[in-house]
Amino acid sequence: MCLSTVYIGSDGQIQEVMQDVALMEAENDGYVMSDLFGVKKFVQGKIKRLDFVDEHTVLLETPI
Amino acid sequence: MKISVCGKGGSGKSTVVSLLAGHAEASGYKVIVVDSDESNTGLFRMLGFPNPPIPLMELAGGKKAIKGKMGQPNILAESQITTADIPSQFFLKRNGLRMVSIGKILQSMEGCACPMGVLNREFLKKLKLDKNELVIVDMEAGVEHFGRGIDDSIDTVLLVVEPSMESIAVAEKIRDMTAGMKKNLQSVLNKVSSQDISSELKAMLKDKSIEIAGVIPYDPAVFEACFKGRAMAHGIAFQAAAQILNGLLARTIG
Repeated sequence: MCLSTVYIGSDGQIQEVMQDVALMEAENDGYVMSDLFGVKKFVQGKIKRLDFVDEHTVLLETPI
Repeated sequence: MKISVCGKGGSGKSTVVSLLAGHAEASGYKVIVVDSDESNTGLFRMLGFPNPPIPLMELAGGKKAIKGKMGQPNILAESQITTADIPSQFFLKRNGLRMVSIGKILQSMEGCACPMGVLNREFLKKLKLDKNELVIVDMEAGVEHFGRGIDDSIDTVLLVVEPSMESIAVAEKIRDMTAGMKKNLQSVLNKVSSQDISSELKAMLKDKSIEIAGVIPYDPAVFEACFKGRAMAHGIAFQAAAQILNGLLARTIG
């Protein structure tokens, strides 16, 4: 699926923050995520991993 | 109740959708036909509409302008919608029949159909129905929609099987995928030209533990409608579809 699920995590623990993310834009110390339906969410963190093979996931290095 | 109609390309999914929709409407249901096929465009003709509906993808700006409209909430930002929430420009209506379309691939190199898959899945999931409303989804050919989770909120998956080995191979895959999703799977045998072929096909599906809801015989009226691009005359295929619809409703609603 070419829309992503975004997770945050650190120290081996991860937590889903948003599904079907269509756009991520860097803002201050994090990212604004948008889906196709007008839902937006901001999350702090730094991208640790982008995985475009396994279900298109984004992992942000952020303490949970 | 939500029924998705799936199967191999060319097996007759749109024909079966049109036949079932006709009977359901005649039985007093408010029918919502969802055109989920990203390639073929002719379902509106089979349903007797002169033009196609504006695709729901346009809610998100359409594929071309999608980024510009992102961030502007549309009806699918809600956790639940009803048919009354669908803006009137996005559906065609005639008596008890409505048709909506998810979207079509229009140009080469325009990118993948993933946004349409998500919109389709969320539309079907969030659409809450009254007791007398029935959704019939004309799925894209093959099995990718299962991978995308589009059938997740579907009550019954109706598999269209034509007399061909390839169609049976796709049927086996769909049997396994629907079992994994714990979905009710029924099949309909389509374009069946003789009693012998009907018996042989039934035996093959029975052998593969695929339940059969009914048989739609080969009907020149269907061929004529597909060839000319118009609504079907009511022939033997239409008659056969009545029993299939009643069976599906009885099995699902009880």
